[in-house]
Amino acid sequence: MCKKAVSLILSVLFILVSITVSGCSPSKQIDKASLAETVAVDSGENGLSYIFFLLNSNDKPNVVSIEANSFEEACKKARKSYIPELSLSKFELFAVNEKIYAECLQKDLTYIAKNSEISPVSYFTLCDKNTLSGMKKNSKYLESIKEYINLLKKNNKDVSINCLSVFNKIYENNNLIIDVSYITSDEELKAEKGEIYIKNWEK
Amino acid sequence: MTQIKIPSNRMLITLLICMLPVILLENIKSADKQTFLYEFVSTFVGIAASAVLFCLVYVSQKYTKCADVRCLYRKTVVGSFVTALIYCVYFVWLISYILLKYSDMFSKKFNQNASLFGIGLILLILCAYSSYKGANAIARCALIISVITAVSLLLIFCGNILNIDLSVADFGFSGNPSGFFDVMSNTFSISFTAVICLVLQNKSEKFKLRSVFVLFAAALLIFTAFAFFIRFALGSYAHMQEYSGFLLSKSSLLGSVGGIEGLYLFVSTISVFILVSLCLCCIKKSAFNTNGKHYLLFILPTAILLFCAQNIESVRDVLTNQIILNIMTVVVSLVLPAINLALYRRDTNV
Repeated sequence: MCKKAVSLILSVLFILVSITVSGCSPSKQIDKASLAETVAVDSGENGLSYIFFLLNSNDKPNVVSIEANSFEEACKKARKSYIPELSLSKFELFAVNEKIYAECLQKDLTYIAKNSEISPVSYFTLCDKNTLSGMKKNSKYLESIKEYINLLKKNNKDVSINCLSVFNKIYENNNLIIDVSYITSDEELKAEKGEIYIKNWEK
Repeated sequence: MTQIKIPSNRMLITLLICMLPVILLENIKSADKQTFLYEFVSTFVGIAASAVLFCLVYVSQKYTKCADVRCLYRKTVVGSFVTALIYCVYFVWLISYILLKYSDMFSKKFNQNASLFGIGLILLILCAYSSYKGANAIARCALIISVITAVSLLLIFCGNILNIDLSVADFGFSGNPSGFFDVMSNTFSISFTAVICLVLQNKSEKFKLRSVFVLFAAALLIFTAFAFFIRFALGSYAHMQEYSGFLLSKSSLLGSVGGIEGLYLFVSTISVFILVSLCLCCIKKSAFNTNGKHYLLFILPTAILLFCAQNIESVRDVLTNQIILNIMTVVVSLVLPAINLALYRRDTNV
């Protein structure tokens, strides 16, 4: 009887210690609006503009645009001022304006590769200005873009559609043209084969 | 009361589960210029060396017919005490080594606010409770866990099949000596299973020698599978982050489900739990050989080591140094029994 009581007390003490030591007290509620699902890169007034598309259930996307020189800098600025609880754990798509990819691709892909939050198989695509404008207006654009990218991959096996394969192809084959997905929306949304060329990737 | 011995197959599976933390918590950045074949050969050499060590331990047990690790120096009280102390220090070191690696992985990949000491202490307390139930209970748990582990690993590998890119594959044999040594040292560290076997040998049925080869063949298969997928599915991406095993699980794609790092965390946690519990059972066997709770006192020095490692970088570096662990493994598994045989050959039951 005494032994059972001692065991019970020890069990209670153990549970108490576990809860305290594991740090449940400073737990933070993850706000759905802090989960960045897509990030697009466009030219901004003073360099590059990183557009964060935050998870929401409305038709109109929840968008935050931040001027920065790199994705890493944009994330730091976002956490400091705009999206304090920013989380990239639901990151699915990295879309870059085809005219400015050479300015940001190496450092941004490197940042994505070093970040444990971001899934290596997040989609990567080039896109035109119209597509980026469309993405800011309609949430369904984002879903459609992913479907078109998958369809493109089915028909063209050599196209690299995720950050993992794009990174590896550029890193391992210096000065080579890589086939990637390119989304246009002149009249309608379309996925084509696009090309990127990074000269002298700094390892 | 007749002591129930652990069947040898169950012991094999338990030891295989104990080897998993070495694979899953590997943090070696293999050199860029090292080909897969080079890495496979260094893995094979490391595992072969572990298998040889295990066989030597097996043969020495048969030769001495020693039922108790403390009988190695049973002639004197001081000798018996020193031997027990050396084995206990070894297992405390091994427990700290594994818990620090696990805590480091957990804090870097899952929760950056987590305390290394806190995570290690919680696991240690849980393992203390399971070790109190005995090695037999732990081995039975390991049997159930092995099924879940096998399924989890299969899912991680299958999820990465579409990522495999053999177009950049170089099947030549080239690399650098330091890379060879790093990989070999990492795979050799699974030889701590020989020491666990040495200490618990009278609690389990004796292995047949072929079982040892089955064990290490399975270990080689798992190591090679991980190396293959990390090299050909992750490629250069794997060099950008620590803990390639985590990255492999993160890049898994099963239909619409992407990223199964939760399974990786589960498998890592449960295999560390089994290993640490077994080490505590070994401390009980080495030092006290009773059913008492005195062996739990060794949780205190382990906790102190974890606390120091969290706050002092050099302590952490020493405790997680693979070469030191490997040297200690060779000393306690071969050198000490060899000295005993040399000194007390006539007194052994041959």
